[in-house]
Parts: sequence; C-alpha cells; structure tokens
Amino acid sequence: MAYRSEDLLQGPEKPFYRSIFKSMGYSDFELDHRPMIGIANTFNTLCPGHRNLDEVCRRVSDGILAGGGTPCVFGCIAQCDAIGQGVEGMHYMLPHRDLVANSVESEVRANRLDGIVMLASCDKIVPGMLMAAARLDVPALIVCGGPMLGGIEFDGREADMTSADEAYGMLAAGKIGRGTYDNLENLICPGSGSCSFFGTANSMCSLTEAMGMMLPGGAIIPAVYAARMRHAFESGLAIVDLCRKGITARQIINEKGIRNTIRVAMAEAASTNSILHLCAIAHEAEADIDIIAEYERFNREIPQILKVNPASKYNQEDYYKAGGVPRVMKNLGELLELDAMTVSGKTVGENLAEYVFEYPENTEVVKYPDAPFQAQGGIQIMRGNIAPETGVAKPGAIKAEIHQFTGKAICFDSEEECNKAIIDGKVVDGDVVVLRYEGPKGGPGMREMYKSMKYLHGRGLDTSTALITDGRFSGTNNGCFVGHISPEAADGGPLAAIRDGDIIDIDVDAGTLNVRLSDEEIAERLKDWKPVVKDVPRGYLRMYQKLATSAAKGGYIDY
Amino acid sequence: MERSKKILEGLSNQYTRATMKSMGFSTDDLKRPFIGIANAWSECVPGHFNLRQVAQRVRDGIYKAGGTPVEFGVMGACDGMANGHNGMHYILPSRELIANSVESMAEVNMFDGLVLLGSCDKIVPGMLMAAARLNIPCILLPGGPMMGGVVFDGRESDQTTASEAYGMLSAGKITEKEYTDLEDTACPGCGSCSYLGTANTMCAISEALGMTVPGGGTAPATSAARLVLGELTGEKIVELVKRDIKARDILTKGAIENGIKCCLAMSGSTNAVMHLTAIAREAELDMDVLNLFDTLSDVTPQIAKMNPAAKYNVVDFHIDGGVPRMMEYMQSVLDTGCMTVTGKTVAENIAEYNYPYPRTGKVVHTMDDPFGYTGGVAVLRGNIAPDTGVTKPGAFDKSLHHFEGEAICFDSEEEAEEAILAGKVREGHVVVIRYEGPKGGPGMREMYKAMKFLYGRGLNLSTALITDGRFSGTNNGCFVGHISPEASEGGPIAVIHDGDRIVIDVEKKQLDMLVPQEEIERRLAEWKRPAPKFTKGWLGLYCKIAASGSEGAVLKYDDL
Repeated sequence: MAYRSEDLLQGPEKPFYRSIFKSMGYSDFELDHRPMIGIANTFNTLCPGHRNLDEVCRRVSDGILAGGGTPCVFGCIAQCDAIGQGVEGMHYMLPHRDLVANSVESEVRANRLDGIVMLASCDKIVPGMLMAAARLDVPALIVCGGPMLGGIEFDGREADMTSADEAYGMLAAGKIGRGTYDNLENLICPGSGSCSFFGTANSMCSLTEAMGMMLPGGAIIPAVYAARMRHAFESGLAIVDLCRKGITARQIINEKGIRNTIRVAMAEAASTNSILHLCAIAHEAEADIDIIAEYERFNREIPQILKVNPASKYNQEDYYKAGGVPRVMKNLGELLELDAMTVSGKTVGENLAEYVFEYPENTEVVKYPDAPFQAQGGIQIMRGNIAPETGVAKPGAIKAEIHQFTGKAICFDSEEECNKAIIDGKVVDGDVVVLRYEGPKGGPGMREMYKSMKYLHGRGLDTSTALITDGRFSGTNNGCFVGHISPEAADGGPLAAIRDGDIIDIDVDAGTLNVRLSDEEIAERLKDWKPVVKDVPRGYLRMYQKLATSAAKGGYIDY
Repeated sequence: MERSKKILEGLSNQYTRATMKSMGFSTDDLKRPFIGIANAWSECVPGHFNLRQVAQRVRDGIYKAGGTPVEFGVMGACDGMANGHNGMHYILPSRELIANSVESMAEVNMFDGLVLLGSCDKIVPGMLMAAARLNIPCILLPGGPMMGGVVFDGRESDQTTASEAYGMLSAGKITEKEYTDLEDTACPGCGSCSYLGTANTMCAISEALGMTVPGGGTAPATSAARLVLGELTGEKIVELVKRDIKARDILTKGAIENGIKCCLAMSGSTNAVMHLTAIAREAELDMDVLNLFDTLSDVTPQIAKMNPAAKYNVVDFHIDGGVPRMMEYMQSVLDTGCMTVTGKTVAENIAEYNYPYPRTGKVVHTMDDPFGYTGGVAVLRGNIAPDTGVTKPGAFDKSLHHFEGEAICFDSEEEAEEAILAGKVREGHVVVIRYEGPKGGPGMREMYKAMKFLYGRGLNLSTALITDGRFSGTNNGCFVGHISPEASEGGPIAVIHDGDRIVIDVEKKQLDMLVPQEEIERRLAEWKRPAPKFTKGWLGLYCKIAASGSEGAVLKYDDL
C-alpha cells in the first residue's frame, strides 16, 4: 500500500525532503516505501515514570526497523504530579495534558508521519497522548515505562513516596525518630518508574490496555523488568503491522472500546480522574457516548475484582505477577465486549484466548466476578441541586457510617484558605467543607485537594465532617468526599450560591448531593453573582483559565 | 535557589526528594541550584539532531559550576519538512506550544535556571518567549548550522538546491541522475540550514540580544566548538543563578533594539519582525518593534551578506567572525551597556572575544564599507494595510519599487498556485493571496511556491504579490506580506475585487487600492466572516485566538 509519507518521499520533489532526512544519516533503505513512524518520547530526568523511556524508545525503534518501518523520535514535555504537589506548579498539571496532545498532533501532521508510538507513563501524559491519537486517527499505540518497585518495608507494607508524608506525621507525633525518617528518603523509591501504588498513572496505563491501545500485558510490567523491553520491541513490530493493515486509532477508540475501558475501571476501582480523561478522549474521538452515564451504569453492573495499594498491601509488581490487566479482563470474560479491536490487530477475545500468563494467579489480588471484593464498582456518580451535571465519590474509600452525611456548610474560595481554617481549628464536627473555585477554570487547573483531606484526617475530623469541591481528589484520601462538581463555581454553578450555615445532604449510596434550598432561592442568589477570578500570571495558565471546559466534559480547552 | 528550595528543602519535602532519588539523584544533587535543560532534540529536525551531544556538555558545565542539571524534551518541527503539505499550518502555531510547554515545566519543577536548546525557525523564538515570560535566569543555545553541500550551479548546495534543480530537470538542463544525486550530497550532515534563513537569523539575533553566549549563534553543528559552547553555557547558567541575573535583565528595550539592528545589518529574515514583537510583548516591554524595524531600516547599513543573497554560507560568516565581529563593527550604533548571559555587558563581551579564525572580510564588512542600505525591512501602510504590511526592498529589483497593477484575488495559496501554473496570472497583475494570515491560514504560511512559480514563468519583474501570509527569505520579486488586519479579521484585503487598481510604493511606504473610501466601507459592511478552516484540535483553537501579524501572531486571550 502507499503511505502518506510517500507523497513527500517519493513525490516529484523527493530530493528536497529526502536530503533533509539524509542530513541526519537516514539511508535510502529507510526512506523507500516504508511507513515513517514517529515515536513521541517523553523521556526526562524529572519524572520517575519517564526516566527509563530512552531505553524503552531504543527497543521500540528496533522493533519498528525489524518490522519494516522507519522510526523517527521526537520529544515532548511530561510532568510528575508528585513534584508539583503543594506548590503553584500544581495548577499546571491538568492543563499540560492539552499541551501534550497538541504537541503530538503538530509533530505527526507537520512531518506527515504514517503512524505513531507514544511513550508515556504518568497521570496527564497518557490521556494527553490518547487524546492526540483519537484526534489524529492514524495508526497509533502507547508503550508505558512501567511502575516502580516497592520500597523498604515500613508501617506494615512496602513503602512508596506517600510514606514520606505519613512518616512526617509520625515524626511530628514522636512515633518515629529523625534517623528513621531521614533514612526513608533513600529507600522508599528504590528505582525509577511510575508510582508503585495504583494511582492515576497506573490506572491510566491499565485503562489504555483495556481500551486496546496497548499490547496485552504491557501496562503493569515493572519499569526495571526485562519483560518491559521485550514488550517495547513487540510494540515496534505491531505499529508497522497496524500501518500495513490501515488500522487507525478510531477503529479502537470507539464506543465499544471506551465501554470496555469503563468496565475495567470499575473492576479495578481505578482512579476517579479516569472519568475526566475518558470524557476528553471520547470528545476527541467524536464517539457517541455519555461517559458519565456509562460510569453510573457500570458502577452497578461491574463488581470490583482488583484490590491493590492504597486499598491493600499489594503493589503494582504484585498486580503484574497476578496477571495484570489480562487477568482482570479474562476474569471479567463475557462482561466485556470481546469483539472490540485492539492494537495487536486482533480483538479483545482473541487476545485473551492467546495470552500466556507467566506467573500463577493470586486471588488475594485479582478475584472473580462471582466472588468479588465488592459487588459494585468503585466509582459513584453524584447528582443533585449542587451538582446538576455531575459530582464524583469513591465509596470504597469512605467509611460505611458516613455514606450518609448531613451537615452545615462552611465555604472557602481556595484550597489555601481552607487549609488554614482547618489548621486553625475553624472547621468543627458536623461541618460540610465547601471548597470551590478550584475547578478547571476556577483553580485554575482543577488541583487535587490532597492537603485539605490529610489535615482533616490529621485533626481527627475525617468521620465527623465531609468535603465537597469542584476540584479533584487524590486516590489516597479516606473521608466523605465529593469532587469534580460541575458546573464549577467559576462557571456560575450552584456551588457558588452556597453560604455558610446552609444544610447539605450527601448520600453516597444513593448518589445524591443536595443543599436544602429551593431552586428559586438558588437562582435568586446567583442573580447578583460575580465570579471569583484568581490572579494568574500571563501565559498558558491564564489562557487555560479562560477556555477550560467543566469537569463533566473533561476539562479540556474548548473554544 | 529560592525557587527550588520550595520543593526540595526542609523536612516536609522528603516526598519530593524521595521522588527525585528514584532516578538516582543524590542528597548533594538536591541541594544545588536546580537547572532545567529544555531539549528540543529530535530525529525529524536536522537542526536539532545534535542537541543530545550538546546537552551532555551543558550538563557537564552545570555540574562543574556547582549546579544540578535536569533534562526534559520539548517538541520542535522543521519548516522544511512541513513545506508543501498541510503540515505547514502547524509550523507557526508550534511556537506557542513550545513557549507554553517550557513555561509549564519551569513552573511545576521550580527551576532556579533554565538552558534552552533549540535551533530552528519557531523553536528559538518560542523558547525566548518562555524566557521572557518566566523571568528566571535563562540561556539559549542552538545546535548550529549545517555545512554547505556539494558545489552545484556555482555555489555550495543546500536543500533548496533540490527545488531549483527540479526546475532545471523539467527544463532538460540536467539529467535525472544529477538531480537525484543531490539528495545524498546537498545536506552533508546535521544542523540548521546552511544559509541565512529564519533559523540562523533567530540564532544570531539571540546572540545579539545577549541571550546566547558569544559565538554561540553560528558555530557549526558538527564542530568541536559547538560542544565547548555547550559546556560554557552550563557554567554560565549557574553563574547567572548565583548572581540572580534574570531574562528580563537581559531582554530590555536596548537589547531588542540591538537585535533589530543586527537583523538589519545581516539582512536577516523578515520573520524576525513578528518574533521580536512577540518576545517584547512577553517581556512586557512598552515598545513598537514594527516601527523600529521600519525606522532603523533606513539608517542601518548591511554589513554582512550571505546565502541566499551571496554565495557564502553561515559557516563562512562564523569563520569571518560571526555575530561578535558584526557587533564589534557596529559598536557605535548599539547599546553596548546591555547585560548578557555571560554576566557581562555587550561592550565587555566584544572586548574580550577571542576570534578563533583570521578575518576573511568576505562576509562581514566594516560600517564604512557596507554592502549597501538595502538589507532592511520596510513597513507599508495604506488603505489595504491600515495596521501594517511588510516587505524587503533589497530582495527585489529597483524597477519594482513603484508598481501599479490590476488585482487578481485568491483565497488560498493553493488556488493562487494553480492559477499561476495555468497561465491565468499575466503581466501587470497584482496577485492578492488572502485568508492566509494567522487565523485565516491558519498559521500564516509562507507563500514560497507561489513566488517560485511566478519566477519560473518569468513574471517576477512584471507582477507583484500581496498577502496576509508570510514569505520566505529566498524570494525575489515585488512582494508585500504580513498585511494586517488579515482577511479573516475583516481587514480591507478581504474586499479587494478582481480588476481593482493597486499601487505599491516602497519609497513612500504606501500600499493602496485605488477605490474610494466609501466604496471600501460599503464592501466591508457586506463582508461575512468565512467559516474557519479548522474547527477541531490545536489548529481549531489557534484559528480562533491568534492575533494578527502586526501583533506578533501571539495567542490573544485577554479579551475572551
């Protein structure tokens, strides 16, 4: 077949384009009638999940050459959520997802590439890449860098970077000494890789595999395993095959593929951030699907069959050995749409039939639907007069006695204000903390309300208060929490109308979130409403502040 | 150091330190100035192909001087590769993505200083915009120009030789073998283009601005000197951090004026007008770059001349002393008190610079013996271009400095090319190519082929071309570009009709249609904004919020 790139490389003006390639040492063999395949390499020395991507990239390149294609590597930014935590930089996290998507789109189109392998591991980079693939609709697949191994045993489990924060609390309480604390710094992250626990990064990698955009088994192979390098090589072979067969991204990222993704998200109790990202990916794919409604439906229909850190002591390495995503999918079996296409060029059903599990199964990590950890999925969509479009809760992370909570509103217009009030003791038993103007536009950047939750926990308020916000929350929270409320306050959502003292009812089991105010009263209050606009320096963030969509749509830049 | 301390110092920041240590950083590493290296290395961009080696030397320099380097990738696309297909729309917009990417990484990771590695047309200005926006210590270092290729048609060849040879092949002047052989010999190694196009213009300007170490703009990509410059850059960024010399201490009004003068003195790419406008805007400088180009153009002699205006390449310019030599000769007209990334002033840099090669005098002349005063840029205004139009009088025959002709209008480059090839454009025509501005194009493409085709049909002395798009540095014909407001914004260029008389007067700096003002207004009242060409993805957004060429084609979100 003829490839797009041949318009340039075999066209009448071919010496112009070919001489440019040849200035970098490309040969005739590489430029003649072979698919030109871009590798978006987000290697850097700032993001542990991306530190090994240069080695991965080498093996993908080898695979592409062996398969009959020509690799061309380019770079792209990637940020680690952990390093932005707690500084102004956190505002940039979600917005940088769109920069990643736009960069990959530009490179593929500017260079007229035939296919693309996207290397990514961390929270916002994986969805940004999937958005690009869905937008471009060229043959595409993702290879991730894989999770980190667990760290030294601490407090009953293998440590990870969040152990540092927990240990800091213990140090303050005098439970551990300074020497123990200091030692952890070198031992809790023993090598590079995405987080060793099941946060957003590993969630998004495993969901990419579930969607069919990664070769089977690839998502959870630890960063330092030889199997990761073999997977990379095979991915290089696979992309060439996809180019030859003309299997493009939207043949995989379609309604069927996305539904399977949501089913696996439920079975894994994956990060709630996946909702946001799948909304954005479905938008780019122009798929006809209501993501929020599908989450509601599959939350009822799909049981949770995976339980790993932070919900149990098992790490990603244990998940890998227990069979990883293929095991979860195989155990779900007929609950999935087995005829969905994948980047192996085969359907989900064919992939699962052929998959060879290298390690014995471990039902303490992955169970079966008839004997699950929990009959329902792990993500509850919340609606009501506070959240006309959507709100999100994670019932598994909330103690049963506070699944229903009624309390008095205490309102804050930024996380910083809220943190200060909690530390100063202004938040008391029975309060519903309303933390608003932290949505995509309001924040801007829809930050994770990580510290507020930790402080409530630290002050022993986690079972006697609740927190609702238009921001996000981290997977490590444990308290009655509703996030992603949309429309956000900055868009004039009802959240903006709540005043201190209003009574708020939260029912996580029923999926409802209401304030005891009539619709008229809310409308009346919003009549004179003026948004709180955060002062953001000129530049990308200010643009995002003006153009971001609501959480219910995916928080992407719209216009 | 104050920035990185926020994430790396103190008991409570063990979380971030442990995260960094997963990648092998030591306790000591995390106590030093934390220096980001934005590396636009790629295997699709010849000008960036060597940046990995350069980055290694930058890292060495940073370590030597007491800092800790952390490297990350940024996208970057080659203008050449995007030419002649839809990809060209993405090229100018990629400048904004690069600026935004670098801004994001620097703010998340709280770098104390930043080294920017990029060479090509849109990457250098994008990175300088980020530096101006962030206002932290920053140095830009490009990868350097390519060596010239095999001698062909009287000069060392480059990739554009292939386009010219294509014409010769179709005219039967060379054989197919001679044509295809060029493919292996026109570009003998990596580097930015061997001639003075936009890439090398911007690299040289970065040096003139004081944002690149002396000699760093033009040392060849494959030279040992390039690697030495990498190490020097690493050392200097740590010094800048220690002395707290930030980007806006360097990117001052005086520096921008120096940049403009050097651009004019080497007859650099007109794209520099737009990029310097954008950089000045990011630095929040209250200055009109466009007008400065216009006024300085009349008084600044051209003292450096190279390919495509002469047979000498950028490497020959470097050997003849490069930007330092040019600035040394121009001292009397430059603001030599400006600070630079060496931590010294322009004057001090000039005094201390050690020229590696003896002067040849072939590429750089003295101010008393200039190549002429035609290197510059003229800004035209009139009822077609209320805000601005840009031309390069030196690039076309003097007989065309006053041109009057009949309009023939096209709403895209492709339509114009087709008409030219079909013989529909004749002597006396003023070809109007519109809806090619930042929003309209989108992406303000270069009208490279339309000009080449006019030339090919022997019409370059008897026609003119005006557009809201850009033009390439290799043109030779009567040409006005960057017209703004652009057609998609309802600029008057949108309502020119076929047959309208158009007058281009380069001496008087006028660009008008001979249509009464009331008639123009009547036509404008009837004008309807066409649907944008892209409604999705990055270009959909760009179509919507890009500013005009006169404002540097930046993203404009203040009024949203």
